[in-house]
Amino acid sequence: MRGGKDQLCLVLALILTMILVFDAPAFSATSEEKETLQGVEALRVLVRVRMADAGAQSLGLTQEKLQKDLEESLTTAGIKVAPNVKPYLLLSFSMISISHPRIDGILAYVYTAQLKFRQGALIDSTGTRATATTWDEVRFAASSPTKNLDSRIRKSISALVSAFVNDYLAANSGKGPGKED
Amino acid sequence: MITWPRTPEKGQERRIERTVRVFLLQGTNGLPIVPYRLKEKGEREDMNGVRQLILILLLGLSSICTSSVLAAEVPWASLRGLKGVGVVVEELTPDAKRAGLVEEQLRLDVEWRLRKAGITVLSGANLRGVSGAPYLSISVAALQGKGRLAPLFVYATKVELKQGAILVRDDSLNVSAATWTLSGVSMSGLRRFRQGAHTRVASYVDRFIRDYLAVNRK
Repeated sequence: MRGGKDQLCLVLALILTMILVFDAPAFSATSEEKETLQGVEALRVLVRVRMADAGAQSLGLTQEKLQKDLEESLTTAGIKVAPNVKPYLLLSFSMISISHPRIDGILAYVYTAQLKFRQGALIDSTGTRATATTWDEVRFAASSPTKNLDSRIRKSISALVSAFVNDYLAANSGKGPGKED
Repeated sequence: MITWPRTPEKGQERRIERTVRVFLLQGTNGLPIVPYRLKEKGEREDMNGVRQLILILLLGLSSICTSSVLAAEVPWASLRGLKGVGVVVEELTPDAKRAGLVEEQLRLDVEWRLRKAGITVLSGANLRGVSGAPYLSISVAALQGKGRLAPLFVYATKVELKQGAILVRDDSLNVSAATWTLSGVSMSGLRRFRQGAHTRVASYVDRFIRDYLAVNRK
């Protein structure tokens, strides 16, 4: 009888300790957006990290870490990263932790990573010059606190960067780089 | 049915027990609760499971709270001189549709807010006739949990102003560029998903209206 109870508890524990993870692309770039990468010779990289609370901060995902990851992925793929050009790739990472005043610790993390390529544009209607987003993708996810969550998140961001790299390379295959804005 | 420990542990376990009981009483929504036994003294390693159960109760059954993270990019200048905007609701993800979110309802909501604020809503030939064809693009992507996590939804919401533009570095490329964006991700239970998504879109559109009116006061 005792063994049966233990087995039941084990099964329940296994079910209940299943890692709660949702991770999926939310919005993907359209074919028109992909075309706007054509002729981009080099780009800057900006990373914004917004941790909404101390729980999110405790994961240790810093702007420096994510910037290093992003720059490495781009240069490895042969995309030139330069600090002084105008077109730029912006990674915005935001995270919040969910907790309850009666419960110690964090119940879950919810986060979003957005990658945007921004460049100078002249707006048709007003003729004014603006920096516009011409390519963007978003991933969003939720996860229970788990081991190596920071690595999982970095992997998720890496998938986002791969999408940009693939579109960039496809848009620039067999074509010479254009001029910089 | 819930089996409580015969001798409740002091401190954390006792607090969790009370909380679980409170949420079970408040919001079970008639759904069956999986039998669960809180760990006894010395068995703290399963607290992660307790937390997940409570999270599901909080968000899935009780529908008590939602959380949101936000990424904003709101340059006002690109809104100056606009004579109105169109509204396009991008195709919803299958999970969002299954949960009852309807593109047409979202579009009508957004148009109503814009009109109420005195902003002209352009459509069809009116929109095509305006230089740059500016429109508000509304996107909602939702992902429902699987299996036991089915009561949970994570969803991303994005509102963008898109308008025709020519790239400065290559004037042969005429694109529809986003010059104003507000986006965020939220988590909620199934029951609150539809209302939550509408509320989130409405709050972003209200922010757009504020920015629009700030640079286009008559």
